Amino acid sequence: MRVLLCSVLMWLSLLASAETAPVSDQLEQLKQQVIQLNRELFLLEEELLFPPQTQLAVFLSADTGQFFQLDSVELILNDKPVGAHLYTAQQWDALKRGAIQPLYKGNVKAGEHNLTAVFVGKGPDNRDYRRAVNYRFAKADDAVLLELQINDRSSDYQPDFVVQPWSND
Amino acid sequence: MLLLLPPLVQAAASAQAAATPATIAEKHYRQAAWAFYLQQPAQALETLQLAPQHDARTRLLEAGLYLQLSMPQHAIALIDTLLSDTAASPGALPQALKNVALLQFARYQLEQGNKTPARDYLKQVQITDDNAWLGQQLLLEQLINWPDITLPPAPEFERLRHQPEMPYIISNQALVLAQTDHSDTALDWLAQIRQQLKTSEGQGFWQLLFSGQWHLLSEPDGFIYPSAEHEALSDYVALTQAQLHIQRQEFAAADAILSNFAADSVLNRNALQLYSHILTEQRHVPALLAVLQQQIRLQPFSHTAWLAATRIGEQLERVLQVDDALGAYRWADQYYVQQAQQMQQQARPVEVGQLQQGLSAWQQLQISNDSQLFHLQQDILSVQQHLTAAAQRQQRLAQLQDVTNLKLTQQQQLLSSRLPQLRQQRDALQQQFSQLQQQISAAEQQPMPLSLWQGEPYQQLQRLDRAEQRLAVLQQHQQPLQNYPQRLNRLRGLLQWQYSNSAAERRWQRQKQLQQTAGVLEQLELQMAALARQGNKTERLQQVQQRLTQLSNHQQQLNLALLSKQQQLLAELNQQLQQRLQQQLATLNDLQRHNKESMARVMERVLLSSGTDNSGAGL
Repeated sequence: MRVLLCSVLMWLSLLASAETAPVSDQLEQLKQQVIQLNRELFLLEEELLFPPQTQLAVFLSADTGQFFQLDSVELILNDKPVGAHLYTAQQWDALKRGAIQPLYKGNVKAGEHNLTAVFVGKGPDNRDYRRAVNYRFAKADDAVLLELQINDRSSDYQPDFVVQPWSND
Repeated sequence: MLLLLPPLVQAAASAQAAATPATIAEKHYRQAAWAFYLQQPAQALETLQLAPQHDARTRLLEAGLYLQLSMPQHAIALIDTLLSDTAASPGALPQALKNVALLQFARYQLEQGNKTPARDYLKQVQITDDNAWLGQQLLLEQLINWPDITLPPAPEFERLRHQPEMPYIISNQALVLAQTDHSDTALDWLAQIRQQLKTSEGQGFWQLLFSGQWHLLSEPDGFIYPSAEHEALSDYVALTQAQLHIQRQEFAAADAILSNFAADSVLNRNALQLYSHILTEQRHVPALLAVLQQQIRLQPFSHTAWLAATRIGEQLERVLQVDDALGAYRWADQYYVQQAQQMQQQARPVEVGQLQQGLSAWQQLQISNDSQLFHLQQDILSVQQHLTAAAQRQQRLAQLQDVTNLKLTQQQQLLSSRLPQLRQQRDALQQQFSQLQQQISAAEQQPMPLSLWQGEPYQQLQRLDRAEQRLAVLQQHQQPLQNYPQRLNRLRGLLQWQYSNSAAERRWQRQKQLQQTAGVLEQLELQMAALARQGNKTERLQQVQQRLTQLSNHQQQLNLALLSKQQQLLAELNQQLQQRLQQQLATLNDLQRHNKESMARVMERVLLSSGTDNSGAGL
């Protein structure tokens, strides 16, 4: 009953604002409500579907991409493939400009786990390049957030693949 | 709108090296950049707003995203807060970024027709020593204050060398000079602009091979335009020059410029209009007729084409080709009828689904030529995007509701049966454990307790106890005992010695076992506590369930509101299109009437001339 009353009040407030404000402002208010709704939905999804006790999230970032051009990434968790991504030129460009890609989000049990990321692309001199990187981690009560970094190693002109855990601060 | 964001998002890339240790807020910023680069501004905004901290740069990006999502009120509120921060305050925005935002907001206000706030934003721009964004500032200043713009004594090519807006700024100054009777100077400035325009020339393989790094030194100093933009700029300057020549009645000079004008130029419609004017003045009728026909062909449903239709007859009439003129007027009359019919056919009410693809040519033309109609179309489409996304959102809500219900069922099961059962088991185990502990400590008080023995010595002690009991029975029945008591005492002494010899080791083992059992019990206790904690989530889950129901209701109301707003906007769009149709039909009607009058006049002349011929023949 309370919910119904709230809804009616909200609907009335929407109608009231609709009558007084100019159309552009009304439209903006509606858009803002959609943004808020999406945000709340995202937070509830995080809480219910990926609680910190089981959450594993993997992100991907790249340096300037001087010695490596990424074509695809495959993620293997405890010897089982859990995700893969093929990169478009636009996505690779975004990564080179400093963006971080949210690559994978899932749930794992508490305990020891092994994550393998397989990078496929073009290395120095435009040669085919395939490299895997392994990372062992222990899952406890906090969410595990890992960043796969593709760095340019100027010492030997080769790409460097690193798994960097994020602190939960 | 997009102009503001790339420099801001680019700042994220440069900031990544500086962010040590990288904060979660920084990571949010860069994830927002990912969504932005993939042209998902709403997603970028959501990611950005989830960051635990917001610095000035983040808020500026947020403002830019709001602007991109056509939410100017939110953008303005944010930018005003940012601009009120003094430069000295910690975390204040660098002046260069402030300038980007100020220029963009000034442009936005100007586009909305609000010149005063546009001027206010522009006043706050403080160009940095590297002159970044100077061109934008000067151009906006001209647009806001037009035609009262500042005129330098000479074109400032040196100052504006690296500014892409240079040709526009100087050609605007030239136009004002021409208006103030300084057309010679204006033409001179325009000629200089064309010389200043540089284009990037792609280097060939061999040139690249041998030039090495030195090719950088051979590059022209100043802003280099991509070739397509270079052509458009060059055409724009040429067109301005032609316009000035026409104002000065120098038709030959204007003709010389326009006759070489590229047919595929983006400005060819304007060029055709100027050209037709020159040809009219110069009475080059055959060429003019060709131009007018081009205008009719290239610009359907336009006032220019409609005028051109009647002008063909006028020009033929002017050169006394009355029969041809009459034919042209008749054709124009039919053309007007045809145009009116086509417009009425094509002006049927627009549906939302047609807005992206499916508009008639006339509707498309109206929308692309009128900023108000264009904004209406964009607003309707953005609402449609939200409505389309609503189905997916509803699905997510339903999934969350399912998950919550499942979790609540699990909780109830846990609380009602599993948890009490587990508690009971744990209590029983703990009781047994403490009883055992008590028994052990009581037994340890005895000199040689049987319960603390095990293995072969336990059996031996048991046998000794039984033998001693049998001896006592023999004693009661006064049977001969021989030397049994001594032998039993000796055996007990021996076992006593054995017991005391290994007592420490056995006690240690017992303690260890007890500790292990206590550890297991403690673990069990922890697991129980964890389960109990999960059990306590029922309340939170119920809150979530309630919230999800509210959100679901809210979403439905929002959808209704969005739908109603969309219908309102669509009705407004259709109404404005109808108004334009009526205006255009009225114009067409006027032109048709004028054309009919001309036609009547020519017919009269034809009749008169034929009458004269007939009378002459009769004579």
